[in-house]
Amino acid sequence: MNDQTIELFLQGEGVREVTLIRVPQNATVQELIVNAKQQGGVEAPAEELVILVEDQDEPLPLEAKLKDVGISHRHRIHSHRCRRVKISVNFNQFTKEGAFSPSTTIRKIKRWADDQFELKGVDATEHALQICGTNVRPDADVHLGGLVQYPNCQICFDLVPKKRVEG
Amino acid sequence: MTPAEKVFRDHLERGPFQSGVDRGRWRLVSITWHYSVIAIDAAQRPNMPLEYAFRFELGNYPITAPTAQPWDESANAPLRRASWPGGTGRIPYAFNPDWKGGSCLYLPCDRYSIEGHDPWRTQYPEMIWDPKGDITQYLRIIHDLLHSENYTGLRGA
Repeated sequence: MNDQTIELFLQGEGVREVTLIRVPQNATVQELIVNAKQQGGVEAPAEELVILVEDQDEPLPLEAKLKDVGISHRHRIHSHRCRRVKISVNFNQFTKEGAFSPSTTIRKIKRWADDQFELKGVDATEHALQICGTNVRPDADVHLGGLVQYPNCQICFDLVPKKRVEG
Repeated sequence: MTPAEKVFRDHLERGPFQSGVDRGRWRLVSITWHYSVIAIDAAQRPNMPLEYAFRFELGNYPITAPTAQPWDESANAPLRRASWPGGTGRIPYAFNPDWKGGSCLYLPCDRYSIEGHDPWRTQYPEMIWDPKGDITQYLRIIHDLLHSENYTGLRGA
């Protein structure tokens, strides 16, 4: 890396793990999309993708320079075709539904679910979001969009207890 | 450098580990192959450590799961039992200095603890080591435990 290059933490459509990419610091958002595809493996035609900052709702303007929209070294971004992701969370035979930006972290979704089901303190930390029909519990840093593929911009979670390991 | 060490060092440069470093979830202390010491952030409790170090044994990484031992970073020695993480619920089960002489954590992702515990593969599938993954699998599990409301601080406090 040199003075003209910055590192960004990328997630996006088809990118389930955080990926570190390197881009010129004077790049535009449009050029960042090209880099996201080449280095990050984002799976979609470039012209259909948008770039979002982590936990933000509005896509960045394509022609803007990264520095002009506040993106600098080691910031966290997301590239996806879905503009919103519908979620449903099941807990104790109840279901709550919401819609979030694909750049929303599981950390934020979990806090939302805790509020919805009024889980606090130990009850909150001893439950995790698990993708329905699987045993996958995405890490707190994972973006919602990494778990869905356009045009299916929706996902279901169960709020499950973290079991103590014994036996 | 062995292939295992090369893979491990490569994983440390990648997004999942560096993302955790950037968030302050963990930091690399040292690598002396086939061991690595990594410090993991803990939830703040009054007058308690802000992090705990663990020495990971990484032979044949990532095909074989690592094992982790609470470690005294300054003394470069096993952590004395009173200084292990303590608490209620899941905490004393995972951080149990009486298990195998304090040489590993009682977790399904641990190389030695999984031995003889085949039922864990179906009971705790989310905590089974995946050879296609990286060290952050184990780090995330420890980090989650150290941020449980059931974590209270030092075991001997």
